[in-house]
Amino acid sequence: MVNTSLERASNLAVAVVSLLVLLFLIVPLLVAIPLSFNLEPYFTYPMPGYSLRWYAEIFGSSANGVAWHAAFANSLFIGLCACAVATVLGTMASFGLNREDVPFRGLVQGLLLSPLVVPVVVFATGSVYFFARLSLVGTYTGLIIAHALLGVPYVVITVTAALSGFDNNLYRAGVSLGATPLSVFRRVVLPLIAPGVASGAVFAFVVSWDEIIVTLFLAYPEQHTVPRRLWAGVNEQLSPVVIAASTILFIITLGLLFATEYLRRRNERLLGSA
Amino acid sequence: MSGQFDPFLQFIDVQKAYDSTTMVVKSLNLNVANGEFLTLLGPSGSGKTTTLMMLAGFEEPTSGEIRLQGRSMNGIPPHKRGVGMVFQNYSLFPHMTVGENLAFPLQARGMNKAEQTTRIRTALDMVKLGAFADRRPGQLSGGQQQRVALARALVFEPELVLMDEPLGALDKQLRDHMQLEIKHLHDRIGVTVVYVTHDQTEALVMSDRIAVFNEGRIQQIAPPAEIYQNPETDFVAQFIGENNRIEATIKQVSGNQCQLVLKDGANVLANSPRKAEAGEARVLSVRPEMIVVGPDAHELANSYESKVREIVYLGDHVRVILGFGGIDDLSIKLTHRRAAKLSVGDHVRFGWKPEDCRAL
Repeated sequence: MVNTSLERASNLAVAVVSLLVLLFLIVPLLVAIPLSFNLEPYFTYPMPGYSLRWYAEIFGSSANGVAWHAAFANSLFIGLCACAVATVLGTMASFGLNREDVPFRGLVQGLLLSPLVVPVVVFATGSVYFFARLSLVGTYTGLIIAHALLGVPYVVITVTAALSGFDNNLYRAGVSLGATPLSVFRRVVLPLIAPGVASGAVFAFVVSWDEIIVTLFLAYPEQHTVPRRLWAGVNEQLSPVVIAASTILFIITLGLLFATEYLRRRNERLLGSA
Repeated sequence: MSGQFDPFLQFIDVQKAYDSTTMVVKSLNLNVANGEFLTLLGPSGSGKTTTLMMLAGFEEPTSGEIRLQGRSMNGIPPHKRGVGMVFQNYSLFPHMTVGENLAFPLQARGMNKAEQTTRIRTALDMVKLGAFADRRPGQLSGGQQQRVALARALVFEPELVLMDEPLGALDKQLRDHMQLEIKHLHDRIGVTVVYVTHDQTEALVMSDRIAVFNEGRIQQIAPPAEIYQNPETDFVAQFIGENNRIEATIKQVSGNQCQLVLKDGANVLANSPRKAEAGEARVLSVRPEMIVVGPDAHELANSYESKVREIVYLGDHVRVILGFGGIDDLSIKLTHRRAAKLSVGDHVRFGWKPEDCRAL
């Protein structure tokens, strides 16, 4: 109570710093997004007028538009496959590692999470050499496996968190009632950890959705994904099309995150207050 | 002990160790009869829950064998044991309705819909929750949830039901009520129950027999009255009911009765559950309600006099505390009427019969 003024000052300082950090994070987006509506192919303010021509170019049927369509289709295909692989494997791994009697539990967990800390370039280089021996370079399979590996840690983290709130006695109750472990997992465990699995899946998809480095290393020259086309666009013919495509990418990602949050809350509400 | 019961369920030299140094369950031999209500009673860490988990199949014995209806359970996974189980925190599936929870074990057995419906209705009626089939567990009270858990463990008609402190999460009043309800349910359907608790009242109220566990061993296994009135070890006497514990040395032995000397020199006649020898150190156990106060105490074989140190009012009875035999908190349980004549500092005569006192 003695130093209330000091406390008030420090509270204010914290608030200011937080605000600055948030601004720092969001300003690039706030600056870039309006430029995608620019009438002229320049990246300067003030904008001479507004137009949807860059979006029209992406959605249109010009040669450029068709290339963009292919890139979105590629990204979607690779993203969904990588997400499926990462979610299935990550969920199974987390469920297995949830048991306390797993040997080398910490080590295995660390290995599964390692794509988070290993520099992506290192991971990409390794992948190229390893996948070359398996003839996976330049294939969809190769890209999907590499992207799935990058997505697994996110699934492991969210599913492990969901499992930590899961009462293991429910599993025991399930098997004591005569259901096989697999059926208990499907009918009891999975529905209850579904929000964790879903957000893990979204993260895994998003990781692949905006992945560029591994794609640059592994993909065939013709194998374009959205980030790869953006990269090419930035390097070669800088035009607001790139920003328009980024905005679409950003909005889809944002939509996914909102969707999982909505699902999570809905699930919480359905389970009610116990 | 064996031979008296059908070997419906047998533990044969069962041991359990989680690591090389600590044995959680030590050479457990136990027979349970068909239809019996057996309670495993003990403090936490006494091995009673581990025993139950081995029975359910969630733990494997380190050595020894568990036989259910003559069939060895070693290596048989939980879902193939056909044993019902009720957990302390109910463990109802929160995303399923009450009806779906009960259908779960029936679906696992591939039962047809019509039969499922009949069974579920019967089971819910049995626990008086017939109208609740469409509710979710989250919408029920703790007592109702526990009744659903009971119904779910019984709906597939297992021969054996395990209960792991099922009333631990309920408040006292509800607990008292549920104890009788479970007892009546057991009387009605005759299923064999193995029940784990650390609550002695629960054990005394419901069980056919109680196995008192301590440090991985069964200290005594007997019907409730036998456990309470004739505890065989100091631990059992102390763990179940109130107990006065007085250190003593045996002076003389005649049959199963012996004479002991207390630290203050007083002589006491007591029964000994095992062979006694003069000079042996024993602990006397006297229940507070077995001690008589007043002139009647004159005629008892163990009769003494001491000063009242404290009188504690406990609602339904009064506890009188006095110093005797080297301890200063000999506790005596009296009715209000008897205690009304006493006040702190009074010299009172008190005593007990030799058969109400045991040298353990």
